[in-house]
Amino acid sequence: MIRLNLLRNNFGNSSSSAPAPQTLDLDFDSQESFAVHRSRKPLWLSLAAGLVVAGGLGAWWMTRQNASEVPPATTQEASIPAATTPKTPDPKPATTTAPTDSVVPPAAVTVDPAVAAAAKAESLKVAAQARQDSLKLAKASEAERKAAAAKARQDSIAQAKLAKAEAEKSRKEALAAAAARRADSIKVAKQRREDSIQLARQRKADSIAQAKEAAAQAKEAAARAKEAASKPVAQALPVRVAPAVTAPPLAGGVVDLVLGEARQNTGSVATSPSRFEDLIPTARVAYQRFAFEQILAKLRQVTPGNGVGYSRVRILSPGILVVDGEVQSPSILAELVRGLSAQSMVDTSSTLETSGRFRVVARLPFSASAAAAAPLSSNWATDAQRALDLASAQGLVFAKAAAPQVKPSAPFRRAAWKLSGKGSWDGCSRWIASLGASGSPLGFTSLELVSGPDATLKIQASVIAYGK
Amino acid sequence: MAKKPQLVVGLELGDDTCKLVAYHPELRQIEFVGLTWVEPSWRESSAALGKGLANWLVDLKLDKGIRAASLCVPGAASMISLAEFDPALPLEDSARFEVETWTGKPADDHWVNAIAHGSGPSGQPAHLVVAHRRSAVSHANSVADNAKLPLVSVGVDIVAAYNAFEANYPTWSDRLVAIVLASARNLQILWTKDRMILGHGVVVQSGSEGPDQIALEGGKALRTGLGLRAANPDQLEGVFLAGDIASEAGFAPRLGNGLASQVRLLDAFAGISFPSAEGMLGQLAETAPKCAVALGLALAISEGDRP
Repeated sequence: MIRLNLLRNNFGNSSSSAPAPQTLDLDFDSQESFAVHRSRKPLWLSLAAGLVVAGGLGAWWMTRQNASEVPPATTQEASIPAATTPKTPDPKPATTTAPTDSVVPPAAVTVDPAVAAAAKAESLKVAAQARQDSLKLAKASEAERKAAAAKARQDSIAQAKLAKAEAEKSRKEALAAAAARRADSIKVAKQRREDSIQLARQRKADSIAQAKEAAAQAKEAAARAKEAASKPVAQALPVRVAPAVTAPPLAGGVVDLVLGEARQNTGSVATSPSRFEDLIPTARVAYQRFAFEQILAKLRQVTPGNGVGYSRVRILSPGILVVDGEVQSPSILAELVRGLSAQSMVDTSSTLETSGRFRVVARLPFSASAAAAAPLSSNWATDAQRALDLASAQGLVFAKAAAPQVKPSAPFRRAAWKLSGKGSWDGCSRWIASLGASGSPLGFTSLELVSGPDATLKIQASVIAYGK
Repeated sequence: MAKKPQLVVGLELGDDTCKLVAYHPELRQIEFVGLTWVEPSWRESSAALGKGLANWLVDLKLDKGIRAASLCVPGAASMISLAEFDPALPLEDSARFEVETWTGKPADDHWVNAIAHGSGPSGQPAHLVVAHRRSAVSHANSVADNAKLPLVSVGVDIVAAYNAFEANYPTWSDRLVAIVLASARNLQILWTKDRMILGHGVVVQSGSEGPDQIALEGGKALRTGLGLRAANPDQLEGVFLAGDIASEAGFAPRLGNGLASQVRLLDAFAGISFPSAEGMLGQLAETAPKCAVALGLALAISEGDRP
């Protein structure tokens, strides 16, 4: 646990041994276990010790008070405390009573008065001499003691002076050493600061040089990119998503066969319409299906094997094709346009950007021989569901169709749906064909195939049908 | 008689959110976890922020139950350095010099903490030097005053996250680990092994880069050992991710892209008792990495050193 407290400076605390000093200064109301209480232990202990000492003193004082106030029962009892107190043991009574007990009665000794007087005089003399000697000795010792004391005092004063001088000297030395150390530290700090500043300057210079070099490289790269962009076709094309065209091209002659069948179906028409607008509504529906299927087939047939990718294919009624995509070279786009023209697509135009993106627009010419009429719808919902079932059979997944928008279109009523789903190119083509084969009343006003990132096509179709 | 406050609180004031962890030091358990958005009106001043927090604490019924609180300053704006000092020099002089050299400003502009911290890159005794501008600390102090919080400590967010890691993952203490604290504006990396900090690095968002770019840059920093001073980044054995955007989908995988070691979310509630959240751990899984800093702040002022 690392404890920081930036409410103040803190130098020198160990994270492993010392508790956090900041928390120790807290003044919490609670006195229960908490980290801060560790610091209060000495305080509490000292307080408790003080209380114990005060209690002991109080008890002692009370004891003394009680002892002095209680009257002694006997003199012996009263004297016991005084005798037991270690303060003043008095040996005098013992020494005075003992000689008294050993005194021999004077009546039992006979002494000569002259001898006694001489002895007394001699003893007095000796005593006087001893007294004089002791006085002399005392005087001499007093003088010696005074002299020794004076000498000791002088010595101590001299030693104190010496010690003081030494202390002063050591203090000065310590101060000088501290000043020198501080000066050294400041010098070292200054040196380190200068070094770091020098290093920072060097790094800054290096970074500026690197930045300049990087800027020069970037400028050079930008120039190269600009030069590359000025070329007609980009060498490196962006990542694109190509349509999932995986089936082989249609066998030769299929288109002619379909066209031939259409011609046979329309053989009984007395007057052949020359424009799509001349067709009756149900015939328009049938023509739309025919045209959309044809355009899908033609586009697939003329798509070069490599170097082109479609991002979006739109087919609009009655037969307009709009293709957006990317090519790797203009020649591939030219090949695609030539192929569409060879497949009888007319009004072909194309645009190509430097990035390789292109757009091709073409139109399928109207063919009256394909204008067989589609049946009328008897039930919008049933017919729409049948169309979705056919789509599902071809591997297309459509969301459930909403209720159609129905509008009057004399002499019929016209219903329109928006379908959206996903599937493959081939499945879409087969679905359109199956609608015609099953006699569905549904046709298309637009069909859009957009390449998705998961290699499937997103399909959006505007479907119509006529009914009464 | 009113009940005496029992809880210690760690509070992380982020730019967008504010996280709180209330910890009971006697029971050694988390009592409450709170998270709120910082409302725009709170950002007007420290007083507004403090009052907003005070109202929030009233809503949480914590206004009278807190006996100590700890806030933090961002480590991305702090100096966190592992320095080896000359033992002959006074520690304070050395630390002040280090701060002045590092920040380019007078040491008196900063609050400085210098803690003895193992050995440095050269094998010499090292100190962990942490410093932050006094003005920012004063702001935190003012916020706490206005929020009526008993502020006792101001820490650093990444160090608090480290404390939360140490408390929750004790078995990882002997391995080289990177604690990553990620926010929408920056990403901090704190390298640790054997309960010692081995370095600190910061990846700052530039321009309008999103979390994805920060994650990628953070991954590069982890691979190259940004800020690591006393070990080799190849020895990295684990990355523990905390912070506001740690739980965002895809952030951890992006951060760990190219790393040999796994990136884990730092679960602040993995190793500490949290009785009131029993049965809600699934719901707290997203919140747990966000609360690591607040938990670390609370632990630092409430518990002693762990064995």
